[in-house]
Amino acid sequence: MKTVALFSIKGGVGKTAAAVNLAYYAAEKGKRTLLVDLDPQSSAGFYCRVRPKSRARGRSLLDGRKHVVSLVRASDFANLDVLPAPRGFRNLDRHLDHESDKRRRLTPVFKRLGREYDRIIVDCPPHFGLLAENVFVAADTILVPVVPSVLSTRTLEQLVAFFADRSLRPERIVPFFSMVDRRKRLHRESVEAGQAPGSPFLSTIIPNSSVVERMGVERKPLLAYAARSRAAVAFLDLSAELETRSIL
Amino acid sequence: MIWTAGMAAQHQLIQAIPARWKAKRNVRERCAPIILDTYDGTLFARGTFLIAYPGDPTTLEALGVPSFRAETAERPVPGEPVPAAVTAIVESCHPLARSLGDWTLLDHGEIYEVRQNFAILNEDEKTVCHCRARTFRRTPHSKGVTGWACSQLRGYEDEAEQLLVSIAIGSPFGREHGDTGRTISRSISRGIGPGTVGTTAPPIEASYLLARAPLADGVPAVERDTPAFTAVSLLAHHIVTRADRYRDGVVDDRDPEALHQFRVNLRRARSLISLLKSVFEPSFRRTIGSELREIMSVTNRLRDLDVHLHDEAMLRGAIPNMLVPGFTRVFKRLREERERERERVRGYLRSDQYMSSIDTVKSLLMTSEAEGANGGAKPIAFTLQRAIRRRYQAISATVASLNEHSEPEQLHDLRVSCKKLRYLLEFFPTLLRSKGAKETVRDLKKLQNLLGAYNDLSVQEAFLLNQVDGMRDDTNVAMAIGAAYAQKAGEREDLAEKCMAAARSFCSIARGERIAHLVLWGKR
Ligand SMILES: Nc1ncnc2c1ncn2[C@@H]1O[C@H](COP(=O)(O)OP(=O)(O)O)[C@@H](O)[C@H]1O
Ligand SMILES: [Mg+2]
Repeated sequence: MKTVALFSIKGGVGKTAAAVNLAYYAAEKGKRTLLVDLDPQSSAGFYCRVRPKSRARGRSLLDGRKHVVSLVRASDFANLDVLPAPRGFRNLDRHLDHESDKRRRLTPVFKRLGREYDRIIVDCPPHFGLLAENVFVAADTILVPVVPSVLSTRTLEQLVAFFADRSLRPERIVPFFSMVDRRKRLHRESVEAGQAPGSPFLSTIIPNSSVVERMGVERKPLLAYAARSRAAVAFLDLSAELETRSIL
Repeated sequence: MIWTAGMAAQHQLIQAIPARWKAKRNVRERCAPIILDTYDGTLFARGTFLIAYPGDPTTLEALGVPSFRAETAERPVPGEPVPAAVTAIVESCHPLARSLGDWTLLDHGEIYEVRQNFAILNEDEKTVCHCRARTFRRTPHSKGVTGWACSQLRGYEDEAEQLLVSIAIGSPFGREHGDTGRTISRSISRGIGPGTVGTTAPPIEASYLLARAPLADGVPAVERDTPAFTAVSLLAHHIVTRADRYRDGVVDDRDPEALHQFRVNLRRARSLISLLKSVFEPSFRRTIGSELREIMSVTNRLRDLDVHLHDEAMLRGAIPNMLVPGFTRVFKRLREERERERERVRGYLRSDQYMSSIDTVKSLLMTSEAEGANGGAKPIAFTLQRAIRRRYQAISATVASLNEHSEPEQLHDLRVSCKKLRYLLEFFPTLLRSKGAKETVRDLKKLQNLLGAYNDLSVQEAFLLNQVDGMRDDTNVAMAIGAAYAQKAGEREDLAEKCMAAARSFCSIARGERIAHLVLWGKR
């Protein structure tokens, strides 16, 4: 079982878009896949048309046994299940704070979920905190979408610094360029710099494309409605690259 | 009699299922309840476990169910599902049964089977349950027995159960035995509560099922302060997508309703864009408008013919019997014309030209370049309020000018204005005060009904006059048409007065006040 989390402290950089599409692709390749939506905005669930059950409680996530399993719902796609975020996930940081093992509380939870799945893909809310820290510990890889700009690059540095501070292995942070607009010079330059030898960035680049935005209208993964679009192909490439690197 | 046990009955019955049944399958793949039916007193069952049976005590006894009396406290009411005790029937019948896959059927000779698969969707158009339905008949045209089995998707057990109950309560299968696809989709779409039924690649009548099932009104969520451009684009895209979904139904031509819905949705989309015109750049608006107009215009004649043919029986009934044969030639000609039109429309709807028109519209609505229009950035609540108020003012002005000398065109204009107001009131329901909007729509509907009836009569008159033109040589035709025309013109004049009265009572000072504050604006 492999667990990959999408994280960035910047919102709107394409975490959710990547999480949904990577999950869809893994499922389509026959891997039993679970998409875990930790962001109480629940946009990953929205894109898959999976709402949390009306009685779902945020705390259930922290119960590594049966409760967490009861949060899972099937998507409309084979092999793909979703753990949608109930509103209660807003309080996860607080709940975690009351736990004994507050920094590693999610590790057994993912392990329990991993019994049924080959891949777990986690969409995270855009901020540091106990929840984020738990994810950093529990996930095998932290994928970070970076929109080429000075600010974004700095947030990546902050993340690395955070890892160092908590003695976590920074190699597990894997950034990639997201929402790249080739018409912008800054974007072109950043991408070039990111592709220099020794750079930690993945070589696949997700272009900025309005067909991705349409996910909100179609409420489907990109590959399910515009499989041949440039952006969809980019997500496929991203999957393939992650697979080659044994990340996904 | 064909009768199908509803899910409600099964829900009760399932309580009585032996634990071993539940244990046999894991929850995820659980094949939940079964529907059963009778066929000339023959029982039909899936698996070995449950039968819901139209509690006709005589039949039960005739079937020799020994435990029947012993286990039920009261005799069941005919037609009502029999709870719990029915399981006993299965126990006693099962040894007689012959197995057919995982379906078990009492032996009654050769069987014709129709298989259908469909999905039950919730209001997000998310599948909650996959269903398989089977209809068995002794001959291809005899009465059938229908059974269906459902497997709920993981995490949707409760929701699926609820939807299934609401489907089953409203709609026993098998009303019309001629056409299973129709029967199923119709019965389902009628009874359903919060969700809707669509299909996932069913082998039979797929497109028809789709055209018939009501589409979930997953109207994009819009807030008061959403920029008008965004709100209108989203909704227009939604409506156009909806229209496009009826395309297959039109191509199949099983039901004029598909064409009607196709056009209604396109018209709504056009109105949306033209009524809230400040939102888009004029050139942008015109491009979309002309694409939509073109698509509609291709189908105009076919829709007219549908309407006229639909009126046939009524027109024949409106004139003295001896004149009726005069209509035969008229309608024969129309039917032939409809045949040709249908082919033309079908060709068009399957063409690249149609696809590219729809795609153009949809993709224009998804681009952000159009955002340039000055009004587009204003909050939708503002734009909507202004449009509603203006439309109401236009109606009031027309109404004030109505008198006994008014031309039919004025009533026609009024009807169009009312329709536009109605659209405006229905585009963004969440933005309106629900009580005020409901009242206004209710009164407006009354007025529209009268105006609609008036318009139908005008259309029929025009149609009749048109027919005479082509067939002056045929006295029978002329007489039939003359008689019908006189009848309709009389009715129409009577109706004109009612329309005016209704229109005056619709427009009042109080109404103006209410309309002016219909949109929730400012305070939450
Ligand atoms: N590659 C892309 N091109 C254009 N728009 C994108 C792209 N990826 C995401 N978006 C859009 O940007 C917005 C934010 O993306 P999202 O994936 O939700 O980011 P995050 O999860 O990081 O907040 C969404 O409206 C989404 O549709
Ligand atoms: Mg997100």
